Amino acid sequence: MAEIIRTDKLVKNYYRNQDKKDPSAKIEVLKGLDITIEDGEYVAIMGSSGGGKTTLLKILGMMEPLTEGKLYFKGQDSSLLWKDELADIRRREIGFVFQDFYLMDSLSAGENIMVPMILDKAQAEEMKQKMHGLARRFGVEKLIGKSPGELSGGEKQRIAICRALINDPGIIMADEPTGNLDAKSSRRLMDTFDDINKEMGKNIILVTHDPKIARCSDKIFFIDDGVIVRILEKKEGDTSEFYREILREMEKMEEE
Amino acid sequence: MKRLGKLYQIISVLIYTFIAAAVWLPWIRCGGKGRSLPEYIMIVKDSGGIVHMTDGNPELVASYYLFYVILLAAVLSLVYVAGRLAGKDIKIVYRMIQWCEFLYTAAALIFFPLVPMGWTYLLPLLCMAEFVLRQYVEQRDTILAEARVREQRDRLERDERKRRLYFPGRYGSSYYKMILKNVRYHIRNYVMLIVSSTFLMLFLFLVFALKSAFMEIHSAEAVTGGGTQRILLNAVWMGLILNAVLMGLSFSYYIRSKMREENMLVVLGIRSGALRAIMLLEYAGCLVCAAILGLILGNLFYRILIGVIGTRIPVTAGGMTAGTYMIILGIFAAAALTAAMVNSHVYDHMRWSASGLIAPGRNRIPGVFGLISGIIGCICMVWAFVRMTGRDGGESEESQVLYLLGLILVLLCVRAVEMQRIRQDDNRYFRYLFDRFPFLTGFGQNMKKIYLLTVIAFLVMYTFASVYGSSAASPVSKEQYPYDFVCTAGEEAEEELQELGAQYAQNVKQYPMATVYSLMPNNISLVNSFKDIFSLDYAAVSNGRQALTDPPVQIGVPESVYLKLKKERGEDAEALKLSGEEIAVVYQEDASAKAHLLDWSGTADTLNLQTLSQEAELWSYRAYTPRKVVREERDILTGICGGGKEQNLVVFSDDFFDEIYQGEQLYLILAEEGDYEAADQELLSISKDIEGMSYYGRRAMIQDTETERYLKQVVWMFMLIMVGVCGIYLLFIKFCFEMDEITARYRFLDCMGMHEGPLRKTLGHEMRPFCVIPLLAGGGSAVIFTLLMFRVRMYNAAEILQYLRCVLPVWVIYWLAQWTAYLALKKVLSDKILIKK
Ligand SMILES: Nc1ncnc2c1ncn2[C@@H]1O[C@H](COP(=O)(O)OP(=O)(O)O)[C@@H](O)[C@H]1O
Ligand SMILES: [Mg+2]
Repeated sequence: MAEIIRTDKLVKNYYRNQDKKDPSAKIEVLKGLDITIEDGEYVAIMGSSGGGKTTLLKILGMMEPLTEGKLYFKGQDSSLLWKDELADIRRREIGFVFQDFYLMDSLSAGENIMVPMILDKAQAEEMKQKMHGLARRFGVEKLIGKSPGELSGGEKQRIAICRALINDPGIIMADEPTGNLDAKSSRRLMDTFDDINKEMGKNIILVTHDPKIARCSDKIFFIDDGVIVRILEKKEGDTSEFYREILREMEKMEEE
Repeated sequence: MKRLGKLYQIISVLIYTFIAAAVWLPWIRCGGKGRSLPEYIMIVKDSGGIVHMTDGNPELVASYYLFYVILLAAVLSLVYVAGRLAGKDIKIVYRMIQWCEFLYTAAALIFFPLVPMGWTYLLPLLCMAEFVLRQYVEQRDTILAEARVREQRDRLERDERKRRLYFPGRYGSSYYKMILKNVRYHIRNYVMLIVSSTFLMLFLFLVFALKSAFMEIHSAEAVTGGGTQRILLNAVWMGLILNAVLMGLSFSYYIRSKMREENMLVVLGIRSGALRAIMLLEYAGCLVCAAILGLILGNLFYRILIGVIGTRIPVTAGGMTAGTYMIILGIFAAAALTAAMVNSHVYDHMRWSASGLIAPGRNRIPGVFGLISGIIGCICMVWAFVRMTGRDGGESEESQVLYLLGLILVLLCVRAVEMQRIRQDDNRYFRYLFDRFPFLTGFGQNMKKIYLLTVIAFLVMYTFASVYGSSAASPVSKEQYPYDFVCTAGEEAEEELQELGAQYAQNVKQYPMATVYSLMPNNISLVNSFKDIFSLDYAAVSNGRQALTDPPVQIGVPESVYLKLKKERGEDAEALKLSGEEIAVVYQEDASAKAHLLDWSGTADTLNLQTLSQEAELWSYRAYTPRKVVREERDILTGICGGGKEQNLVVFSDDFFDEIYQGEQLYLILAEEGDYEAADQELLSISKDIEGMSYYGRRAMIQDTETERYLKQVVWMFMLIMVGVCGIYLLFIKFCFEMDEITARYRFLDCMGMHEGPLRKTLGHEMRPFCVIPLLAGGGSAVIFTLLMFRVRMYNAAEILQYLRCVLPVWVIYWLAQWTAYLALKKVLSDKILIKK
């Protein structure tokens, strides 16, 4: 299997007040991660809050520059890509579901779903069809005309998921996508992700706290304080053993 | 030596031949003629040496010796050219010539204003050009080779870029719909931008239109001094700067409000080109709206204004030429671009930091530094006051700048000390934590806003209001021109003028007088020099210094004539009792003229005067004699000329006047009822025949002054409004930007169980400094300055009242507007915080 994303000693620092010279302003978030994600893999990222999961996901999604190390996307060194190439990758190859949704207040929910396609110069007809299809699938058909301000958290989340899927990206990245969902929607989302992964052969990278969701994945990175403490890989078909292992790992992290 | 190009050799020889020959071109203006350098040096020799000739004026002496450097350069140039022609390149001579030229020019520019003609500064540029050419010729091959390689690399990269970033197709209609919807949703942000640029357009249009309307009826610009052109140019610069600030403020608001959306689009993968295009489109759209709106409103206001003014002066609302429109649009576009450029780095910074953490700026409350700045500030303020109390330091802008600087430092010190004390005392800290929150957590940032508001208050209440108010408070009237014609002439005009008097006049008064010049008639202040440079008034500047133009003419009269003139005007006059060479000065100006001296080279009570005839050299140091001024007053005895700069009366004692009297006469003519025009014509033709005679007529003078006043008032009213709006904007920006943060903070306090009363009180405490400090510091200073202005301008009680009548409404309106904005903001905030239960 070809690797699709690989990081090499990935380091990310934030600087308070953008002050790069002052060492006391440095916040080390990621401390040299080596991650490889193969084509078609379903990957979960777990770990304590504040451990750097969101940051990692943003870097993998090329929304955030990295401080040191390398990030290879489909074999290309991301530091050698132009800004617009990164934009193209974000638009076409990655669908992102943010923790805080990131919907535009000025547009209706339906239009929000279509934004990535609009930016990709797509035809209006095609866009509408696709948007309706996705909305039906996630049960937000009735919400299409509303503005984001009138939606609940869970509804916004589903809109954001539709938006992530609309450009048929090869990779879906989601930051705690089930955080605001009821059990039923949550399960449906998991099924969708499963479908996307198994049937369409797309990559999924998911940050979650929920072991039930994590057990659907093929591989789990546990991150604590900017380093990978453990990588779990699912053995063929053995879901229940995998689930137990996850629980054990979570307990271990709690104890520390 | 490398093989040099033939062409270069020819050019080089030509240039250095020219440099050698240039000393024979007219270098210096001396005795009213352009002299070549050797000629000048001979003249100096003949008149017994430079020290003798210039009366030891050190600048002139030094400049004179500097000319030898140029002569040396000329000789060396000849040597160099000779060498060249003989096929030798004498490097050391070459270097020396260049050094000479640069030394001379640098010294002449920086230290010595004596004044070779402007073209001579071209010589070092020629040298430099030659040098560059030589470098190029010597290194041509390598340069070309490098350029070729670079170009190839660039082309490859361009091609690669094109290939990799290929993005075919066009954005669909939904793309534009999305942008439009976004604009409509955030229309509030654009309104601010549009309003501020409409303001600029309106201002430009009105000023230019009024000017072109007044031009037609404004006679001789040069005679009246000031002149509409100057008012206009000055105003345009000031207005542009103010407007750039205003536009900058609204621009940053606009950017700030767009940040979230932008960032979202970036994350969703918008192309950077598309993003830039959206920004540009929006900005350009706003500008076009503003331009159209401004032109329409401008036209409307213009017509109304002309309608009002037209009842008094014969002006009509004429159209402007296409060229003027182009100029207006050009200035508008330039201002808009400047505002965009100034703000684009803010934009970039915000955009890229929006994805990271926008932390509040580092907050440091100055300690020792605050105290030091307080001391420096006090010194500045006291110094400014001392300057402000004399006519010589007077109303210069430098005093104001100095004062404001001092004020800022003192404010900083006071606030810093207060905050330090609060912070160090735990008890106090908790008590004041919420009240003084902005200053405890964002000291610098909030102080900056307070300074700005303070400065704005000062500008509104004093700097601009004094120009506007004093010009509005002294309407032009017959009082200021008691005679129909004022004429000064030598003996030879006597016959003709008397004839004219007999024919047209009901009354001709004739007095002996002597023309008087003062050495340095202008206040060459730094600010003035800059203003002159910016107003493109190159006649007034040379190397940033005042050029030696003919000094204004003052009228010298004996004391007896002074008494007669006073009596003529129905005023009681007491004898001045001048003795010997003492003099008294009567400034003939109204309340609108800034306090000034006739001679800035002396102090307030000495005056360097020359009372010779016209042929004398006006710029020779020796010709001027310092005289003691025993008395100054402001009164109009013959009429205001040149806005107070010319024809002021210099009163001599009778004995001394007899010594300097050379037969000149001052004629004050009152024409018969219907004969004004005819007399005017007659005088004009006489003045053409007789050299040295000058006159002005009341009607033209009144009309000119009146048009200038109107223009001035409109212009400065605009400035006032513009600064006032800036002040209100600033308040809005402060509290609108921070609205969410403030609301969250107070909601929290509310949830924690703080009662409504204390909540309101705390909010009031937090917001009040932004209104009270500017009011006290800025407004208070403005009042003090206004009082000092009354003093140095020698206002009488009636004039003070008149002035206050014009300016008080401005003060009141400004503060009403400011307080209204403040209260509205406070209400919005407290409504947000205290949701009705
Ligand atoms: N923009 C930022 N600037 C500075 N520090 C940040 C920024 N974003 C996140 N951090 C810090 O980085 C660490 C990791 O954050 P994050 O990746 O969001 O953690 P999580 O694993 O909970 O998603 C946290 O300690 C957070 O304070
Ligand atoms: Mg997170």
